[in-house]
Amino acid sequence: MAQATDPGADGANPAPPLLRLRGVSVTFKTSKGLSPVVRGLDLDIRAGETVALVGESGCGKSVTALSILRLLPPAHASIGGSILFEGRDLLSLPLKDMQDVRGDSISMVFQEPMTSLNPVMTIGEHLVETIRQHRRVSRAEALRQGIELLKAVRMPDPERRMAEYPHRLSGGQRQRVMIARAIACRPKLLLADEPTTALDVTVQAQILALLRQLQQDFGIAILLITHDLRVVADFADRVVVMYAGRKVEDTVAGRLFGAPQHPYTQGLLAATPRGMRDAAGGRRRLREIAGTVPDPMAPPPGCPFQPRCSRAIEQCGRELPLLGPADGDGLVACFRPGAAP
Amino acid sequence: MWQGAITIVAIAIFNFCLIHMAPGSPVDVLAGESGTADPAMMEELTRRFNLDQPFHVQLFSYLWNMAQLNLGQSYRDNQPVVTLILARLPATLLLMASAIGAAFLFGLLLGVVSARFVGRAADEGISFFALVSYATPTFWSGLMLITLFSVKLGWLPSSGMMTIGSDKTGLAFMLDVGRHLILPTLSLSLFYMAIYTRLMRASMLEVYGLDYVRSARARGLSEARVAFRHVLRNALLPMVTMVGVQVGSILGGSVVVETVYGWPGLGRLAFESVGRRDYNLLLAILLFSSVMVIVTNLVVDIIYTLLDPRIEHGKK
Ligand SMILES: Nc1ncnc2c1ncn2[C@@H]1O[C@H](COP(=O)(O)OP(=O)(O)OP(=O)(O)O)[C@@H](O)[C@H]1O
Ligand code: SF4
Ligand SMILES: [Mg+2]
Repeated sequence: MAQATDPGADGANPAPPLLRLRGVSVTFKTSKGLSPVVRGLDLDIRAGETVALVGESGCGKSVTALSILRLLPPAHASIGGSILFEGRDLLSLPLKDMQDVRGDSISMVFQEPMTSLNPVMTIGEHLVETIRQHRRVSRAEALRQGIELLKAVRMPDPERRMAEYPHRLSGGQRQRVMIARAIACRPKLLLADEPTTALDVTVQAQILALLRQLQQDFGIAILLITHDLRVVADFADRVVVMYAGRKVEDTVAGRLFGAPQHPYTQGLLAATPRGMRDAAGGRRRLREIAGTVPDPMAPPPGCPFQPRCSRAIEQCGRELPLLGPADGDGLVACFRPGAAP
Repeated sequence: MWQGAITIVAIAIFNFCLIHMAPGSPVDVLAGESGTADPAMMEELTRRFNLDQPFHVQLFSYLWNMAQLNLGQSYRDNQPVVTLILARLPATLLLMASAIGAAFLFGLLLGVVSARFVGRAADEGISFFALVSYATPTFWSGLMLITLFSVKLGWLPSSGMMTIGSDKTGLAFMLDVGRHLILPTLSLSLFYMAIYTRLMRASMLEVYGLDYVRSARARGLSEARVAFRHVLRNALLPMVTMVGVQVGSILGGSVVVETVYGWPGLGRLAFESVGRRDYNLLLAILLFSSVMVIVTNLVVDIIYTLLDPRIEHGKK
């Protein structure tokens, strides 16, 4: 794991991050009106780094990842702010150039291995299609690379698998195919949206080990969206906690577990039993914190977490806490941050 | 295969019972037409056609003959019914193939365009056209097409399968038949085209919302590639099923269309045989039709397995 990298000021490494989101907001047009589901999000990911994005269901994690690749339906979602990838603003790229980025320098793995492969295409066709979309290689060469990719993701019997259809594969095998497909063009950034949530525990561990191996081998930066705090502890360099479309804490992974600053982060950790690593079996998603997530269309005044916060003071109901440097490392958006009382 | 055979026998028995419940016998009609109701001759005819036997004996002998592939003589023309049917079969097959083909092809195209421009003018226009086509009765659209294209504009022939008295051969003959085929195909296929348009549109829209389409976009595929490689093929599956289900009803519709356009096919022959109470002929036509429907369904099943690898060969 990387040494403490302050996400704000980083004197030692002045090179700009691989991906830089600034003031990104996503608004859906719904039948009931405009629904702002991501609000003013700043996010940096450096080359080779793993950043975990955590938060309760509906806080905007998937929407954030999809907006990076501009995969949200343009008729229903508008994206504001800027998304700089290697210095280019993805939001202002022509569609053709955006398509050249997708699957080549940035690729994505989705949560649903059962439905993310086309049922009428063989595994080989999926891989060949992706490779030849971005590389001018012959079919035979693409097939050869496809077999190599299946070997890289530890798929048993790769030659035979190439000719098989997705329904013959287990969930874990399909997720391996999706990962193989995602790394086919050696991306610099992999967006992994809950890549293991739909899988059995043992398979989860295998897939995560695979992701980590590939990251070390190829130096891929990963944005890992997850519900599972165990995964965060093992895997991520940095953790970004989202609540109701906003970033509320951003810190080094080790520190998040040692000294969480935001009351929401503390709530998330409290909802996960101690000794997370050794607890045998059982998929552990974040248990709900008391209270409900605010409706994006009618957020409470002041701090969005205030109705559920045991530490709220009068100011919290009036003003929105802005993201600022936390005690020590990292950033936090709270009027009363720090260790739980 | 066995299922098919059993189905055919069941259909044959059902048809037989149904026809025997209808009032009037062929003898009545023959006698009525000749204007003489000579009781002796009627008795003679009744015996010759086996109509004096009890019902179950008639049914049994019918099935027995059928098992020996003997479908009997027409009461009317004294020709084997199979000869009469085979003479009419090509015309019906041609009309069916052309109607199903047209309905499928145009339904598919319009559905794809509709889904591609959902909510926009093209989609609205196509939806309106489909609704009108769906709601128009076949016989009426047939008459209107004849009025417009044959009577008013004089572009296309209004009846028959080829120009009478012409001895065209080769390409000229095919073109001639083709010209005669256009209007009957149009009226028979409009209704089904409307159904396929709506079905294809819905099916495309559904597939567009699926995860593998999003993940195809996430890999940088162009919209055209996404549409053709990922959406279209999956969206076709319900269409193919639908065609299989509807062959029977298209065949039924061809009775009306063949009658309106004087198309020399099985449908019109069936219509005529009902009027004459020519039971043997009618039964044989119904039997042929059910065989045609069953065979088409087999073909559709095979096409479906080719399109959808999830259906494994040999397992059912
Ligand atoms: N197409 C859409 N139209 C309208 N609202 C949407 C749309 N997609 C997502 N949302 C809303 O955006 C919010 C964030 O959704 P998102 O999928 O990003 O949540 P998430 O953090 O990924 O949650 P989960 O952990 O359940 O995956 C939710 O309130 C959701 O209802
Ligand atoms: S700002 Fe106030 S309400 Fe919001 S999390 Fe901090 S203490 Fe709780
Ligand atoms: Mg999600």
